[in-house]
Amino acid sequence: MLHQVIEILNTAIFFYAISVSMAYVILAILSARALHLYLRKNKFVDHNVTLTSPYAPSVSLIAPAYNEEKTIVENIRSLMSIHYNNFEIIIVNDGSKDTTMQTMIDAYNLKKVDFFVNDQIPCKHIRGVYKSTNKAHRKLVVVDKENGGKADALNAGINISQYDLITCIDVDCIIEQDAILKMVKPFMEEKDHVIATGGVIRIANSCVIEDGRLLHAKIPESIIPRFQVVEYLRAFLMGRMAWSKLNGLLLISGALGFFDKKIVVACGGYNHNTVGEDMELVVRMRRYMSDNKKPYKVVYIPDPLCWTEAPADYKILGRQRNRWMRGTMETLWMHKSLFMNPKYGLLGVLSYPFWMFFEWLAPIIEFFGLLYFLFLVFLGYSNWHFFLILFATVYFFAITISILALVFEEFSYRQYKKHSDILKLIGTAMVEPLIYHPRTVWWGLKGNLDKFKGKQAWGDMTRAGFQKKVIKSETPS
Amino acid sequence: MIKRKYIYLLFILLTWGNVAVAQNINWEGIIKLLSTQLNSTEILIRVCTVLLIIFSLFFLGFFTTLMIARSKHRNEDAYRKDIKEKYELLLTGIIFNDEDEMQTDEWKSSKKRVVEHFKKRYLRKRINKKYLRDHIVLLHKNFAGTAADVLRNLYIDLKLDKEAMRELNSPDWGTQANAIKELAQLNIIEAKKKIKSRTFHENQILRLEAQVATIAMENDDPFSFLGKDKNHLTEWHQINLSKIIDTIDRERLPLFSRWFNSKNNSIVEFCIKMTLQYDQFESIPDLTELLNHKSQNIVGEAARTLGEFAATESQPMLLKVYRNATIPIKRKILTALGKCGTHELVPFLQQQLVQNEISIAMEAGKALRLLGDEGIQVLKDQTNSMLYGVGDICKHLLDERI
Repeated sequence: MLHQVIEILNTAIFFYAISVSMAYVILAILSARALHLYLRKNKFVDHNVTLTSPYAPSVSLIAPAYNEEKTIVENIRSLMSIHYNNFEIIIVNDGSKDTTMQTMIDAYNLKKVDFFVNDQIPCKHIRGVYKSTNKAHRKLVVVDKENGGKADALNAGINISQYDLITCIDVDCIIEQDAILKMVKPFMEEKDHVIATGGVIRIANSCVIEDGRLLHAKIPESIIPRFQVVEYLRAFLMGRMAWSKLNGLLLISGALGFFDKKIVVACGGYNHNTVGEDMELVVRMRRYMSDNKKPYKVVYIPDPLCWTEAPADYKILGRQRNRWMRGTMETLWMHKSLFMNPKYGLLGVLSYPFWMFFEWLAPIIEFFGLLYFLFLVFLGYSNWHFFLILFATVYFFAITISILALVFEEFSYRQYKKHSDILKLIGTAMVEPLIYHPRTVWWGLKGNLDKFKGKQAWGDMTRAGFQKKVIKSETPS
Repeated sequence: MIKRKYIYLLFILLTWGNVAVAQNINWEGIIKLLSTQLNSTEILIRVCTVLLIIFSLFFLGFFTTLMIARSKHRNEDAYRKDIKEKYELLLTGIIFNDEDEMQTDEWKSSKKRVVEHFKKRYLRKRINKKYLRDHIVLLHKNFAGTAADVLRNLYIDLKLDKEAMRELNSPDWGTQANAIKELAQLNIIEAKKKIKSRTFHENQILRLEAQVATIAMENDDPFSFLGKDKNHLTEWHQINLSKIIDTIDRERLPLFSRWFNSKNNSIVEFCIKMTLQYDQFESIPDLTELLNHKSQNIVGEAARTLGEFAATESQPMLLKVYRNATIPIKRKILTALGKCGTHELVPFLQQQLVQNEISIAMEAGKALRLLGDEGIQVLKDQTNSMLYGVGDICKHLLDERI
């Protein structure tokens, strides 16, 4: 009897591993095709056409800020240097406890204005809207509101925004200057209604940054962000590109996303009740379009458009991953009726089950797989043969996928120029399944436990800041 | 420098070490182990072993690809940089001269020498030819007048145009589109007919390149494709066409209202935009007629253009259409009325300001502001309105800092 149970469990684990591998292989193939076509088409694209055209869509850029007194002035300056004509920058001070608001008022000569706030979606009380008395800063709008979290701040920004396209960003990220030019293109180009676009997020640790602009991409000196470089390349260049090709993308990173405001408002804006508000919004928007039988697309752009500082210690990284897991669980639970529901097409029968089995349940299954093996060792039923060969197979699969992601990078954007950079990344990819992956499994598992315990907090996300690497340009005398 | 030496030394030692390790690996043992697994009685072990071998081979394949690609890309970059410098040196020698100087025998013989030099040294290799073509196109884009003519003549003398013409027959859309771009940039007249035939191509990029090239090169009815194109002109396509139209002589521009009755709505929308861009006021009656069009986008675009033209005569029609229009179109009409309306509209706009829909109220308020003193007075009077949002909208609109 026990033998039969062991046999069944072994087979189940094996088939799970195989289905994960096959899913990633299919995604890699789709990504390769999508990336190749994108790069080919891009050779004929001149984004400056959008820059000078009076017909280019207008964009509202919304950036929530919470306790950012040290960096806010520099961050706003960086945003104001983005290459685009018709756009406004809305900074939402989400009830900061430090001097963020006063720092902005002083630096940009802000004055409170009689701004009409169209309360289309719920948000906490807005204390005031400020504009600069300096005409050079006419694109800037600053909103001061009571603290309500990131989702709430973004909703306030949406209520203030005056244009049809909105982009929600993290204020501490470094946005490439042509990011808007590239991200509005799908809205103008596709026949189907594009409701959202996302761009690739890259790791900025150890990169050379000057005046809020990334000058030179470098491999992080520390191993933890370096693991994340490999992880992000895999996720963005392979995973999301393929889902975009299938029109099954469920997540647009909160660090940089473009949305059709009309649809966001119709869906009720960002949800305050989840820590995964970015994913939840995309799923809700997709659901709204499907429910209303409107053809639509969510498009992904492989260009590196946004650089973020990755957590450089395990404690903070663990909190981030814990939150991501809880966000995934909350979104999946809120939209559980999508599961295998053919009414929602690919979203219901492919995207949702993929996220459920390979994103949410993966750490649980991996962890219990290990426990099960230890249990067998304890009982003396361990099949070392099978364990070792399965482990080797999974390991080789993992490093093959990572190396393939590096190949994609090499044939597309080649952000890391030095020969040694590639060698470092290969080395990182080879140790990642042994050192880094077990931790992500543990954080994922903890995220599950915390969710069941009812934890709702974001968890502090202390960052070292770019300051250390900032090369200030000399002030002309 | 010393540091680099150490790195090389370390690299050699490691390579030597790896070779030594590889030699010591018991390959026979590994093969034997794998074959034992492949013959295992357990099916899961057999399958896993097969997958392990496959993944290991793929890993080695990708690793090798990566290393080779990195070296290849670096070499290509260095070679491109090097050859670009050489081309620049040769080309600048003949393009930066006075016109008088260019008539001299010395210049002519120097040019001939350059042509011969290119033919002998650089045109035998396919890659060099490609770089040269790219470089000439790039320079031609940045120069005008005599310098551009010299580049064009050189391009023809080197028979690079023939190469591009041949590429127009390629089955690959990318190659064709590239050739069209190049031939249009260098204004190779012989290619016009072939390029024009691609203006209806099913591939969107190729079609766009062909249409852009036709507008730039063709003197005889360059916009004829607008009457026949059944494909949807995306906004991106329209922006690209409008950019090239901006570079051509205004005298060559047709009256875009010619295509207002096209069955392709996207073409009608584009033509309305061009009517506005080139101030074709004579099309106002046709634009007014378009306010009855079935497509809401066209109605909105026509209303916007009439507003920009300050076409007061279209006011009754705008008001008539307003009654049954959707909210987005109503907003556009209100904006237009603000620009082309008269003070007689003030009561109508005031009525729109105080109704329920916020976005309509906002546009009505903006229109009132545009109408001048009388409209502004209405806004001032309504600042204390008890109706939801009206007072705040009026204050917002009266605040000049916003």
